[in-house]
Order: sequence, then C-alpha cells, then structure tokens
Amino acid sequence: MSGFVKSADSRLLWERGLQFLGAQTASQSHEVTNVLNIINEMAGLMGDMLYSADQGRPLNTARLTELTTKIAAQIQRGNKIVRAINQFGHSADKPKAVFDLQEMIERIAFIAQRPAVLAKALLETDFPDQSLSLESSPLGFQQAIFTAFEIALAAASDKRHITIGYTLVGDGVELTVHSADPLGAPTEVAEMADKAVFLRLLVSTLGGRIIALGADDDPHRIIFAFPKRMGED
Amino acid sequence: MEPLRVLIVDDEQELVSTLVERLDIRGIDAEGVGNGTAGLEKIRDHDYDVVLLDLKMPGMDGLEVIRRMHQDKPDLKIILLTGHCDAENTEKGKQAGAYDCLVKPVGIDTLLILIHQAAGR
Repeated sequence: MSGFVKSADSRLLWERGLQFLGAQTASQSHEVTNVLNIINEMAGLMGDMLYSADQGRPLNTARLTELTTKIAAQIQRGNKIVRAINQFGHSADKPKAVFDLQEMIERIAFIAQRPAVLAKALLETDFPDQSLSLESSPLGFQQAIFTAFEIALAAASDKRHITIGYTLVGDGVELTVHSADPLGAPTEVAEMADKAVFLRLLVSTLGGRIIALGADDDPHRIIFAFPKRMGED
Repeated sequence: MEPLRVLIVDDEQELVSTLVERLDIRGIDAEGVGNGTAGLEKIRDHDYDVVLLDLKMPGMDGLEVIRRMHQDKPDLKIILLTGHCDAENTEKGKQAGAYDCLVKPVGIDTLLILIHQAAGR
C-alpha cells in the first residue's frame, strides 16, 4: 500500500511539474508575442511615415527617432523574457543542482509578474544582503515558490502587495510569501485547497517543511523551511 | 461622411498609442484605453462604430467587457484583437457577442477591412 501511495505521489509530482513547466513557458511566450506585436505596429508606423514622405508630406524625424528608441527598448524587454524562459526551461535539466536562491526567486518573481498584473496585485521581492547557494531540485523549488504565490494571489485585492523573500536560519533557509491581505484558510476554496495539499507534498519531497500556510498558522504568510542541501536535515 | 470612430482597449500602452496613430493616418477617428473599466466608461460617454478589444487584461477580462458593453450598447461591434485567438477563445468570444476575433500581430490592411465590415461601411 505505501508503495502504491509513493508511486501515486511521484506521478502527481511529475504531472504537476510538467503542467507547471508548460503553463509558464506558454505564458512567457505570450509575453514575447506582446513585444513582437508592438514592434510590428511601430515598424508599420515608420513605414506609414516614410510612405507619406514619399508623397511629399514633411517627415517627422523626431517621431522616427522616438520610434527607433522605443523599438530598441522593446527588443531589450523581449530579450529579458527569452533569457528568463531559457533559464527556466533548463531548470528541468537535472533533478538536483546547486543554484543561487536570490537569482531563482528573482526569476520566478519575473515570471509571476504577468499573473500579478492581471490580478492587479503588486509583486515584490525582499532579500537579505547575503546571497545563498542551495542544492535542491531547481524546478521543484520554483514550483513551490510559485504555488505559494498563487495561493497568496487568490487572496490579494487591488493594488495590494505580495512579497517573496527568504531569511537564513541556522543551517538552512526560510522562504516566505507575504500577503498584505489575509490569506484565509486555503481549504475554503477547492482549487486553493488542492494547491495547499500539493504544496505540502512538494515541500516535503524537497526535504523541507511547512511552517505556516496562512489562516490560523499566520494569516499573512506562507513560510517553508529547507536545508541548504536536499536530503540533509 | 463622418469618419469611423474606433476604440482600442488593450493594456499594452505602446501598442494602443501606435495603433491609434496608424488608424488616424488612415482617416479613422481612433482612441485607446488600457483596461476594461476605462473602456466601459468611454462607450457610455461616446458613440463608437467599432471596439478593438484585448482578451487578457488586468481586472476584467475581455469576455466580461463584451458582456457589459453590450448591456449598455447592444449593437456595438466588438472585434477581439488578441494573441489568444484559438478555437476555444474564438467560440467563447462569439458566444459573448464579439463580431470576430483577430490574432495579433495583424496586418493593418486586414484590420481595416474587418473594421469597415463590422461598421457596415
């Protein structure tokens, strides 16, 4: 029986990991499309202006210069998104790897910006001065942070802050997702209850433990603790 | 003849302002706003021939915007202009009352044809 449960858990983790990877890749590719749409319209406008100049109308060179600057800015924006997708995609390469925690949280916060914007919440990060290397599952770790963010986002109202951060505690780290709005009990909403159950399983699989999960534990925080190396207590 | 009046509702500000400029060049009286709530306010105060509407925006999504716009202006022609125009979204959009759905990036000539078709002139 326990073997069956373990196998079912492994399958769930694998399926959810794949869903997470697919959903975030699709979401970020949509962001790239937005960038390309803007470049498309700006290039089209430049074409319109040049056509008008060919017809004898004066060319607004200041506007042309402004458009080239804006196109360059959009290319930078697109490049940042593509870099994030690339690093995110590679996070599934190895089941266990050493990574910089701050860089990872910044990446997941970048990926989470769009859902935060759509929900009109304000997402920010908060780090100690000291950086930290962890050895764990990069994909699983990001999924744990993102799942906690999703639970917080479900409770967030307009222009309220969600903060993702960490603190060094003993020989490990405590990750915190703080919501300005009280999180309530995830069990009240089926989808959030599912996410909370999954988060417990995921954190446990990564060798960590949940310290608080909103509601009675700490109304504004989801906190989980991890050792610096997966497999160590 | 009065120029066509078009409202663009999309949260990508640079896209909206550039598209407004391109439609203006072509003799269309275009305006843009960045979210559904602002779009609803605009259509209450002004008469537009066509609305170009993004599907995913902060706050109210495009489908909800269509329903609410049609509560105020049942005959308003709304074209979904989005990166999410798959079969499911197109169907949902049409069920909600959208005139049609175009996938961005869209060529300006294709867009103009559809705007004129939707406006009936």
